[in-house]
Amino acid sequence: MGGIREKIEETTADKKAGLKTRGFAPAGQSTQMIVGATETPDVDVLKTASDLYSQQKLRRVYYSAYSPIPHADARLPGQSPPLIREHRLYQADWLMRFYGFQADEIVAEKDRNLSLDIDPKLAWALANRHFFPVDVNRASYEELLRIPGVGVRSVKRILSIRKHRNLRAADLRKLRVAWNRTKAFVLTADHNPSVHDLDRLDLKSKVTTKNEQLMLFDAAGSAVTGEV
Amino acid sequence: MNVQEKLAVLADAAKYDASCASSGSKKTREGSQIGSTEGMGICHSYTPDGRCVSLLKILLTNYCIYDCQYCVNRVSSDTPRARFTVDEVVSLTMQFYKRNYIEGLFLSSGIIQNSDYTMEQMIAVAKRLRTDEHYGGYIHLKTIPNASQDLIDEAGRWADRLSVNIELPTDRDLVRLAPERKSLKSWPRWAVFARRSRKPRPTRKPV
Repeated sequence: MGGIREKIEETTADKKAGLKTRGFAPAGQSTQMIVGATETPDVDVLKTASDLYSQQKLRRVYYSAYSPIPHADARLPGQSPPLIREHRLYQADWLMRFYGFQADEIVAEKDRNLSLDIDPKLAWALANRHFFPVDVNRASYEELLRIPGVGVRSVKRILSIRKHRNLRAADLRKLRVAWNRTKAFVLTADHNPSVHDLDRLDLKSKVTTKNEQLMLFDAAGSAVTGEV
Repeated sequence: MNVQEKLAVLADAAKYDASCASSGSKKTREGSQIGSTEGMGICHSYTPDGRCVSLLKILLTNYCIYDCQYCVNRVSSDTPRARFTVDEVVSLTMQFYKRNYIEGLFLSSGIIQNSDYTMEQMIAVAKRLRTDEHYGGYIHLKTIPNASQDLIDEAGRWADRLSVNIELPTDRDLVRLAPERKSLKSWPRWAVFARRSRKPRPTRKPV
């Protein structure tokens, strides 16, 4: 409750002042919301979450895909939303907390939901191509964080390496950035031919993987039935 | 109903609570003799839908006086009911912890009698674990909507993390599906605040 935040702030302030405190919820507070029980789009879910993070200083907001319950009310949907929707919300949540994204810029789709087939950072990059290519040897921390396939740790590594030398494409691959997603969006010290794909209409198909992840638990089912 | 049967009912009822963190606490609290908390945590095992389980995640009871439509434990549902005593939860937690099944306790509850009574019962579990068992591991308590501030203060003293479910992302959804909760008065103060204010935020410093 509001009281929880006030109490947490009070305790930390006391501790900083050198007073002896009894301690209050040292791991902070969290909350959860159910997604998919109503037709509320992802952008509203993310806005609520971002308000909670900024105003209530929550440690985590959990998104829980609605799962149908027996004898449910007629107003509730008959089936749960795809689990991937929950996953995309968590990815967007991370973008808000660690990558400096705002809730309303993450969701680019017309129906105000996150796209299920590609991750939200890649979706943002595809919709905002004027922002790219980003020069990894000159761009600021904030700009580097926006490159698809490059995470917070890679960005920190890039910043520390480029004090000493210019980064080439091979260096980025060696840093284990997701090169397939990254290559069309970055300028490197050497020639990076993939940057020419940036203006192509079919860029999305070029940067997404063609292989499909097999489900571990489907395999268990087919082992029992014998069907593939 | 014996403890195993209760555990089956109440652990199943808690599966809808999505929280798997057993970390984020500063350091193990002073004076504890068993159990520890860490800033960073690991997860033990995975459920078929991919979530990890590292906590003994149970409800104190799944009896409830509310009638929230999305909830399996609403008063009008014919789900089997059970209720743990405080002692039972304490002994289950200690026994599981000593056998290394769990990293901590996640305790939520349906609302019985009234919010304050339910909250008191949950606090009693956390307090017994800390004082009688000298347990220093992770405890996550759900706070009950409407419980008094004194009880929240008490809960925060014994628990590592507190949480309140805001349940649905917008007010409109809430009015439709959770009739008892539709009055904003019954909402935790911060949830109301978060819902009402939609002011543009100052740009946040990226981490």
